[in-house]
Amino acid sequence: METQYNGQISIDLTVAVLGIIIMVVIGLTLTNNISTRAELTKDNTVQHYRLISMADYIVKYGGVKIDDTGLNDIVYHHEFDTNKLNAIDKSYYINLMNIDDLTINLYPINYNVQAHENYSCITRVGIEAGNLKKLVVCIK
Amino acid sequence: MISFETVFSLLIFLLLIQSLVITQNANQIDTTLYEYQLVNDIAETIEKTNCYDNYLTGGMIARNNHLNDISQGIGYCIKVEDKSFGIITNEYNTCNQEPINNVISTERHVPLTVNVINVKYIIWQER
Repeated sequence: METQYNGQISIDLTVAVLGIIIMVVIGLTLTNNISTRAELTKDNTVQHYRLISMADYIVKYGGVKIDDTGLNDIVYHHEFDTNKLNAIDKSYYINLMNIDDLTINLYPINYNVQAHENYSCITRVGIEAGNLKKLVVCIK
Repeated sequence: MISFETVFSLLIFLLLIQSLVITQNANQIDTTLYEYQLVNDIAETIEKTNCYDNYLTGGMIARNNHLNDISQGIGYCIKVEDKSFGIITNEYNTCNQEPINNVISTERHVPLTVNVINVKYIIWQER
């Protein structure tokens, strides 16, 4: 009689322990998964805001027409100046933002831009010589 | 009567679902700021290309062409509402869809020769 009870207790215990082990493993895997994804999202978010800042700087000052009047510059935001766009010191911003690469291109508004692998890009809209253009800023 | 085991199992199941929901949400980047900049770009660009100058003599047609080009170029739908004295006098939508919830919009006051209109630009992405 005693032997039969001992056997039942062992099976119950084994099932319970197995259940606990499975739950712990699932819990740990989930936590690890969430942590990895959160880290990735954080990196992507930082990258996204770097892009936004860079593109906004170009649209509002760095790559647009500026009349130097001596006292106060007149900034024509959203009016791209190709000379100023080409003169942007990319290596300076690559070092500043701690990124691998930075590309700044101006296209006709209806031009279909092919995304490069491993690059994050955003598009802004403006004009150049009276024509609608899109500015595509990419970072890697 | 619900047993303790049932309650406990349900609790674990709910925790699992909640973890999965958190994981899914953690993947999304908030693009609100970028979209706000984009809708202002559209308004600025339309103003700078003087699309309102001949508004009463066909300016709207020119602006619609611009809007179609911009919409295709940026991959967002654009809707424009012109209001005069609070009444929508003109509206134009680049997609065959009405805006969804949580769209980004901006408004401009545009002085014309006869009155001032209030132009509202709305952007959203197709589902």
